[in-house]
Amino acid sequence: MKGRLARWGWSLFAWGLILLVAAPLVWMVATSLKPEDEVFSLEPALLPEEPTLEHYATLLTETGFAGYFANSATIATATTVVVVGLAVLGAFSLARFRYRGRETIASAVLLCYMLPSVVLIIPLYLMMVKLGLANTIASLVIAYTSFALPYALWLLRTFMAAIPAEIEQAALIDGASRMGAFFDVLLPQALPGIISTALFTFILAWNEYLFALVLVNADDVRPLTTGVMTMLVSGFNIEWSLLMAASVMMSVPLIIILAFLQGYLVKGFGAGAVKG
Amino acid sequence: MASIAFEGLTKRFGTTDVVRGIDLAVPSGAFLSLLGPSGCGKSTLLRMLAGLEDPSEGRILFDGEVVNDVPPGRRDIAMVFQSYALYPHMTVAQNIAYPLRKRGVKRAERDAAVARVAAMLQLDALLARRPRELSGGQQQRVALGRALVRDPRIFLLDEPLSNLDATLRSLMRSELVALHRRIGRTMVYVTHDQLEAMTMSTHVAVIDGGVLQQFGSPADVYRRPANRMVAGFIGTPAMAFLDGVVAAGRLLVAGEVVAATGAADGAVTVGVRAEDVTIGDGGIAARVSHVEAVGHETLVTLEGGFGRVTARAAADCALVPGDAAAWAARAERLHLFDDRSGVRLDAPCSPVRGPTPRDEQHDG
Amino acid sequence: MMAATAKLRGDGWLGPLLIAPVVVVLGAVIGYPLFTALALSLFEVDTPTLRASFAGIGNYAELLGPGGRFWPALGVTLVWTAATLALQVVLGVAMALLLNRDLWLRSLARSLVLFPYFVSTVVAVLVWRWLFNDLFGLANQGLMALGVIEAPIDWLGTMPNALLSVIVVGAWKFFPFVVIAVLARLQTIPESLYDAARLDGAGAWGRFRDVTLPQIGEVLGIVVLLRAIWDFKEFDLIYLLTGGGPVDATRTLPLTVYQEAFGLNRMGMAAAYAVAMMIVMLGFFVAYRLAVRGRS
Repeated sequence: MKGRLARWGWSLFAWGLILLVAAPLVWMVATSLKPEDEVFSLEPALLPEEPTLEHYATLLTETGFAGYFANSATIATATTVVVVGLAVLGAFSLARFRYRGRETIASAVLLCYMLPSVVLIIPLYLMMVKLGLANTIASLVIAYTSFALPYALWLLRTFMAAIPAEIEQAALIDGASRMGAFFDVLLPQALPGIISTALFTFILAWNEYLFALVLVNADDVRPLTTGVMTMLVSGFNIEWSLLMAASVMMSVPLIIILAFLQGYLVKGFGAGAVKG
Repeated sequence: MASIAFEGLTKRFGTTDVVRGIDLAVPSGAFLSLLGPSGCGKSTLLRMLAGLEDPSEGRILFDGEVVNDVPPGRRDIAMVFQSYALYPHMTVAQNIAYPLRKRGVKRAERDAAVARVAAMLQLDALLARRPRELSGGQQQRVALGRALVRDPRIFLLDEPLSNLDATLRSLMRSELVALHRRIGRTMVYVTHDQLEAMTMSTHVAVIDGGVLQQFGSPADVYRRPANRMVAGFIGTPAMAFLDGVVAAGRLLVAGEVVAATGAADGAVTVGVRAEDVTIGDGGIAARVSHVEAVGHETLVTLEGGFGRVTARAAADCALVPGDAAAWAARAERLHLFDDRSGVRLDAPCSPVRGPTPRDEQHDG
Repeated sequence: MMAATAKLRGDGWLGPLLIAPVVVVLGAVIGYPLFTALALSLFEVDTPTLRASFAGIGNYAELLGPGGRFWPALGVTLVWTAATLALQVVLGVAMALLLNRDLWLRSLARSLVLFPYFVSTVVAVLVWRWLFNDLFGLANQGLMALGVIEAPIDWLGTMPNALLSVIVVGAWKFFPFVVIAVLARLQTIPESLYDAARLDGAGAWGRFRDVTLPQIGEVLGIVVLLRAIWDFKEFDLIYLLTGGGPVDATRTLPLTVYQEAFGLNRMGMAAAYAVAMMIVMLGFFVAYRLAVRGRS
């Protein structure tokens, strides 16, 4: 009896802490559903008294939000496809072949993975201007590979190194070529790792702010991050409920991923981040 | 079917030689065991046979043809890995069919071959399962099936039984022998278990420190071990090694003459197997230090000024630790090794048919 | 590692071929820009016109000199990094221990804890700026209702509030990384170790100190290093919360680089700041490599 009470107490305590951490997010959702007069109230209620979706409607019809959303989706998807495609082959090479310079490349990749974006932003800006790519979606996809590719490569290399090489060797003896063994055996084994890497890459690209700030200043190519911030700056007085609605909408892909694919994210943590 | 030959085979990782200048040849249809303690280089040797590692020096020949530059898939070999290395995302049937698929064998033919192998290994009921749904023994049979389905000229087996429990292991041992007899293919079997090597092989290569210590039939390596390493590695309980002296055609251990020998005078190492020791009234005095009843027999360890020997005694042996006992060994079964290099001295020992030392003293 | 990489004859070109596209792309988006940044740092460049004149080490002399902002910015960066990291570790380990026990709706709990880490910094900052709003923000209203404060506090516009706010928001945003890394390690600690400690008479604290802590120590070391690197180079969170203000009170090195390039239009000087910052980070990188190598 005492044990069960203690467990209940423990769970309540833990959930109290978790809700404290989640409080800003709860507040975000609550604000987005409140009518204007409830938002600017000096005695605010936690939950909206008369919940409304008007801010979401305003967001989608009267602002550039839908366009930003589409741009972000395009940019993040394109970045993910390019980066994961390159990284899968590169990680296979780093994890399964022996050649001169391999360790140097691996170290360089790690170094790139820790490089601050502000160092690259100036030269990349100049490069995009020179190439005539300034203010294009392509410029962001190219810039995003600079942080997403080293990350994806490192993650995938760790995933692949953890798969026993004997299974591929069995395939070689059974008559497969190196690439044949890769497609028949390694790739299916690495699939969870590839999904995890793709999700991480997508989220990184979806959330990126600095490159978007510097490389793009036309409204029709702006992604969500800088787009929503312009909404904050351009309004005469700040419409917090509208911004909270935008924040919620912007987090929808993440909410979907966390709800259904959480395991893959957690796996990615274990592999890429903490192991060398 | 194929004969196999190694010529001066060497494998170097960095500056360490894992395999050093191995020469040996087995005829087609042989069952060759590569036997040695873990880390001795036997697995590397097998991986070179498979084409998974490049030799640093030397040649590998199948049927007199150098295969150094032939990739693994074209060597016409099959391999069973210690970890089984089954394809986890494929069913048992797909696993077994994979080598055929990679060789462009038609679907119908493939299915027939899988069915044939499955029947042979009693895997029929498991064909739709995935490897993780199988027990260790079943996985082992699938790995074997994948090797058998293609009828390759050489089978390579890398400690295939080491992950099985004792009962299953002894069952699989006899099944493998029966299989070898039935299909008559050349098999190369890596193991650190001398019992497996002794019971299954036609040829045994004992390897230690990357060097071939002895190559011969199981009976050869047991009866005439080439050096102390081989002698100590093969046989349970392990051979006892005692310090001995050869003087004027007599072999002395702890001052007692134990045999007549043709070896040159000087210090030698004397090897004694447990089954050659008899505990009785006469012989070298000792004290019982350890008694191990294993059911059908009792192993008695004796210690004294000579060192330590183990004897196989009858199951009803009544000795207990602390008892005084005397032992003698069958002279013609003693093994003599050079006391420094450990190399076998090829001088036969025989029972002493002359005066005992005490008699000599009397005479003198 | 040796066994994992079987080199096979006839495919000696395949390994390098597979990595080649990566090398080319990284050369283009990292290697070349890095080289350009180094070169730029030796010039005075006007951002709008891109007119440049050679300055030698003039930029470096200025930024390290008495009027330069490198040292103050480095100070701010180190204070921010150390403080937010300490909070992340304490909060992260505590939460990991909580989540490691039986808990109702554990998966939902984990999602909620992970959310701040994966959510866009823009979203995080908007929410917190709303919470910090002087009149209608929950922070001021809540504290006033509780009687802790009498008048609204300016959370982001004055010191030391601004720096503290940034540190707290940073801790909130990034602590889940510590949670997941530590949690993964905790789940590999065999229950038998705790049983053994219990048999030896260890209490709850003793079990934590003698079993848990040594087991998570290594992971924690790596996590701290990684987070130190990432916090050190953090731009979005601080830029969006305070913009570096009030005045330069929260202007870390990355923000200084950005401001020099696009606020003060001194692109060469910005590059010099960036290079100086990278040199500091190289120290972190070497420490990380040594730590990881020491582990394996």
